Amino acid sequence: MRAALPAEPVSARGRTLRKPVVRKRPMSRDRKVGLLLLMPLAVLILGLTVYPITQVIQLAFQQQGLFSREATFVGFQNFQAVFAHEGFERSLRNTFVFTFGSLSLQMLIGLSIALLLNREFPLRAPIRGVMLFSYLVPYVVAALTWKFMFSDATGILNWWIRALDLPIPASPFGSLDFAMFGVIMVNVWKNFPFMVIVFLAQLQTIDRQLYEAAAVDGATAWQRFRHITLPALIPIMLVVGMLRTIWNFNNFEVVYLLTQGGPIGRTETLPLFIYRFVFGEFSLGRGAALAVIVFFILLAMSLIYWRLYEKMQERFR
Amino acid sequence: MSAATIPARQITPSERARRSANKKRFEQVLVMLCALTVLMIVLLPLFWMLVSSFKPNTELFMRPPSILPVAPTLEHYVELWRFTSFPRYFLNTFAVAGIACFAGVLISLASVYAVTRFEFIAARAFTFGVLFIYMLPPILLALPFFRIWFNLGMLNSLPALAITYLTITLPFSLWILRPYIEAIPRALEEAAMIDGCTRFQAFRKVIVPQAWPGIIASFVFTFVVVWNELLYSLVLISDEPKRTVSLGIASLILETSVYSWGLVNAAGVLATVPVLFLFALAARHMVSGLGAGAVKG
Repeated sequence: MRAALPAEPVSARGRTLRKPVVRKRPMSRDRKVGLLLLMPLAVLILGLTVYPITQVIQLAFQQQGLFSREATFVGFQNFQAVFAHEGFERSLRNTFVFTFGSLSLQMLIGLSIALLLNREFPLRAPIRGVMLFSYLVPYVVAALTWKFMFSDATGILNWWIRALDLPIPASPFGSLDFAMFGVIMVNVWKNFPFMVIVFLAQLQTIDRQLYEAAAVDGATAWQRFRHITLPALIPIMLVVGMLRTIWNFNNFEVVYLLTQGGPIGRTETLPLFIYRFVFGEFSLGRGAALAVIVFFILLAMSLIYWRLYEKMQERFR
Repeated sequence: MSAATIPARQITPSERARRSANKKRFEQVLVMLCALTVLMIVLLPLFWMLVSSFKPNTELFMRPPSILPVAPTLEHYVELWRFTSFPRYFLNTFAVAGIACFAGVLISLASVYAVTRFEFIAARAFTFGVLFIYMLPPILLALPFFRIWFNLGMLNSLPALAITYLTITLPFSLWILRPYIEAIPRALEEAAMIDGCTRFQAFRKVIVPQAWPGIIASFVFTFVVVWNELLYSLVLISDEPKRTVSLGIASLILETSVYSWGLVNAAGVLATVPVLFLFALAARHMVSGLGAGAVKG
């Protein structure tokens, strides 16, 4: 390396290109090293993201079996088939119910618990840490334990519901009316700690003196929440709201493991519908077409959130 | 009315201070009890899984259910270890997650270093690109990955699965590492280089130790995410001995009609242990990592 240093036509040329050269530091050929370091990432992003996306778009316009190499171009037929499918509208509706049902409960519970944990009390640190457990466990564990608690012969909640004669089905995941509520409940249980972490982090940036000043001026607890806490939280609420909307929308595991979309399609969301197209009906093309549609729905929703975010930023500045 | 106001006037300032301190103390304990109640509700499912994994089969069917195992047993764990492929699944998952996370952290380290030190114009585009990957529906990527690995004849291959997992580990570790590396003053490595270090030595001896907490955090965090992942392994792996832990448990609760709940619970407990262990190990950094996605977004 050092032997190559004296003759350096490349770096000389590079120097004329970058005009405001401060003073050549001992590090030479910086940009080359930098590009070299970025190469693996660039290759991987191309190979693992850009190429698969072009593939999925291509698949959406082809008729293709799952395990065949032959493909024929069919134009928009896959999209037409998806839109015409009786399950499309239902799974679209289910997805919105699942996404926003989960989101509102996650927000509400996440915010309440964050406000609770933001107060000072003994054992705060360990309680905060343990509160995150449900977020850390694998989805399969979340699914198995809830399934187990509601199982017919062995479940504890199942038994309690029967023993106390509660007006809810003892096995909600198999019930037509309660299955959606059941999967939403598990999704909320699994993911609310994410909200708690983010809200807590934001709550801690609020200046305590604001509250003291407000209390001196005679503001009620509700007024302090409304005029100090809430404005500080709204921008971050929109950001995590967007993230969680996307994640709930994309969530496959909860529903797949608990109900597999059943009973009779009552909980089938779009990701499950895609999965069924591909691995149930062996139509890669239709699955890909639906995936592309889902992507555009998500994009549209992100743009709406983005606009809201900008509006809120202006209002609370 | 007047009887109540008179004693109030006679309280000395020190007593008032003590009373308000007592009141505060009482409030704090109240808040703690509230938090503990919430915590118990949140933990109930996991607690139930844990205690049930130690109950013999007969006790699992007891009605009303016993809370703590009456006759605790390790039989489900023994069965899991000796008569199922779960030891194999654990090994598979450790290997796949280990490789994906190690490669992810290494590549992120190099990339973040390049982006923060050499001021590429692309740096902003780079951040948004990563954000974009993070937002893509996994099911959207799962289809073409199935196709790509099928075309390459690498369906059912654990190395292929590990490479696929880079789509998860890279965005996370890039995000977590970036602030750590940005925070290291350039003067530090310049000083090392003036003292005769090559750039690589300066990187190894200055950047790596300084960014160590970030490196640990991103490794731990991505490991947990990959350990918990199900969709890609479900789509790409169908050979029974090549399953990951998540896929193994998923098959247990989906494919069998009569569950051996003791076995399933034991598997669930074992799948949870590494995650909580790693969390406890790196809790401080994890929390910032968990929130990183949102706060940065």
